Amino acid sequence: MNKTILTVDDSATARQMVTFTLKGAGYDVIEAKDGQDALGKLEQPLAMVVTDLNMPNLDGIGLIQHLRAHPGCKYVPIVVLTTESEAAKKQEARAAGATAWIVKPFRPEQLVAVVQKVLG
Amino acid sequence: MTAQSPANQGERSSPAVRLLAAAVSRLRPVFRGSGWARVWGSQARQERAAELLANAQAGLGGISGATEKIFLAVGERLIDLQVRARKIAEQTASVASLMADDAGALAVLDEVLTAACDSGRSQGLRATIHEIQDDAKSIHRTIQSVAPIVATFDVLGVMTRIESVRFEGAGTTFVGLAEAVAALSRQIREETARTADSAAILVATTAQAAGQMRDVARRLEENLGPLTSQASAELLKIREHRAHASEEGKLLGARFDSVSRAIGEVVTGLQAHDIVRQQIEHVLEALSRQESSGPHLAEVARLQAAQLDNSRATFERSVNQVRHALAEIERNIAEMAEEAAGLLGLSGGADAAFLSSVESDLAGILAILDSNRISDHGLAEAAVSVRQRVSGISETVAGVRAIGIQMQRVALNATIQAAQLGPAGGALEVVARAIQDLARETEAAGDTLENRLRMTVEAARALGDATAGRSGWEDGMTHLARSAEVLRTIQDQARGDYTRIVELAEALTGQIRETVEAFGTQHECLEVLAGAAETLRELSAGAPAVGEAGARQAAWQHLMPSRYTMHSERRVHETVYEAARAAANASEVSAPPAAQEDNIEFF
Repeated sequence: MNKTILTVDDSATARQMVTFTLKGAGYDVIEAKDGQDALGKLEQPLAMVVTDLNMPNLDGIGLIQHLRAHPGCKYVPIVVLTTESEAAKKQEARAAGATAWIVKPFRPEQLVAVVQKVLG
Repeated sequence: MTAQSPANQGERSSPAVRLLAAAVSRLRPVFRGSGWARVWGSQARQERAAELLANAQAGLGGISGATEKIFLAVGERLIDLQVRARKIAEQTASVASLMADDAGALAVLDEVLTAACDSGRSQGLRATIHEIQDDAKSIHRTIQSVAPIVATFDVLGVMTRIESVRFEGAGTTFVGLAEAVAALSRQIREETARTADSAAILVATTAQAAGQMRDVARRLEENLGPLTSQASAELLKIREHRAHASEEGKLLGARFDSVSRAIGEVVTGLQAHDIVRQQIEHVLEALSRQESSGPHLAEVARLQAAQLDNSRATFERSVNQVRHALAEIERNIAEMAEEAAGLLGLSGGADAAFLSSVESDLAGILAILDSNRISDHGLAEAAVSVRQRVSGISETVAGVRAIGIQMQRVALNATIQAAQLGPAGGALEVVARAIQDLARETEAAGDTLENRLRMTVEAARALGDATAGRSGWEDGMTHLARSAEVLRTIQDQARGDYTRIVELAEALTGQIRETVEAFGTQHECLEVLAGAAETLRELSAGAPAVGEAGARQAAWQHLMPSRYTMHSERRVHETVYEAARAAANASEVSAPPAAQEDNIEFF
């Protein structure tokens, strides 16, 4: 059975590209348009979460904090995929419980390599 | 696709493009109002600035949604494109795998044909049969040479009987001796008659076997040899075509790798929409915080104009990247189709003709081998028959030898009796010597027969072994038939695979063309970005000099909301500030240093 990855991004294009890349690598992908939407899609076991940072309703940092407080997602790897690259932002995400950080735009093989490395 | 003006886009363009066109038409009058800057500082400035800000915001606000639809449509097609490209790659791999099987089938065919061409074995068989033939003739001659002995014995029998009558008056008779000679004569006649029959049959059998062998040899020389040579040559050509096809298959694989890389480029390029969208949102956010009469409007407008130039460059670069990558995919797919079509021509055309010819040759070879197989059975039967006949002759030769011993005994009795008669028994002594001579001749004939029979037995055994060895051909024939069938199946499958590759590639090429067409050059979006930047630059035209530290510091504070951290934006700001600093020869204010852009980082 394929592992399921949740991708969270307010950009439909970004979600589409992440889904395209990860499905092509053999993963099942669920999409959420922001952090709030993502919290409503935690009913099935997730292997990983790939989230943007700047999103309406609930941003990436807020989502990471919620996920780390959620019993089922406490140890789920969370990769931040964002246009941001500021050290302070990275530190904030790291403190919230993020696993890795990728700056957009990503190349498909980069994203797949990160996912494979994180998922072991 | 070439850029089209909003006017002629209207009839067939998407709602998104029409929306962009509307935004452009709204901004155009503003761009053309070049005289507005002269009113900077006047009462009308605020109204004009407000109008410009509103128009810039309206134009920029329309970009994101409009372009997203186009980008998403390309993304949707990308998914389908990748699925189809994968199918092509799978078909290519399937053909490569078939080629490997094909090579195995060709090798088996070659081996069998080489074995079938082995004329040395046939020559050996012919020699063996000739040996048997010679032996049989020799046996026949030897047996015929016994006939004079029989005749002589008949004479001796008569002479003995005459002598017996002559001495009857003297009280001595040779009746027993005469009867013994007559009995030996009968025995020899009977034995030689039987042996002669067997020898005649042996000669006939070997003559028949020799005839069969000549037929086999003639077929091998006249038919099988040329056929196998021709089939081997055609198999060699097929193998060469296969090698070519294999190389082409590798090229197809390399093209798929290029397609995969290009798809990756498209994925990267399409993400520009998200990046530019965020940049535009930030610009809009910055503008929305400005009032038309705000003290920092000009400085903020100047920075946002630079940001929009950056966005425009990013967007244009990405659009070109996507278009170039799609063109690259199209080119590779078209070449894949062309190469597959070439291979299909190879498989469906010349190669198929070769195969048909090979199949025809193989059928001829199989027929000849089958015919030879029947001959082989005949030879095997001949070998058995020879052994049986030799066995029969051996028995009669044993009988002849026994007769020879009896002849020696009779000759001895005759000698004794002749001695008893003294001078009167001279005639009988002659008979006794004659019998002894005949006994020796009989013994010599027996030796000759035994020797020839032994040689015949050995040759017959060799013939039996050789024909048994030739029965291995049947396995070869089975292999041959099976290999030909495998070859045909592989050929059909490869043809089907190539056909599917061509169909898939042609469909894909058409789809990519449509995608490139739909994606367009994004000219309208670029025009909006350029127009908005120009508007903002005009807004900043009458602003205080940026070299003034207070103004720049204040403007920077306006540009530092919490979300304002994108690397590209900071780089723009830093560049603008650096330029301003150089102009003002001042160093007290600078933008925060941009963080190192680490694409990936693990925590």
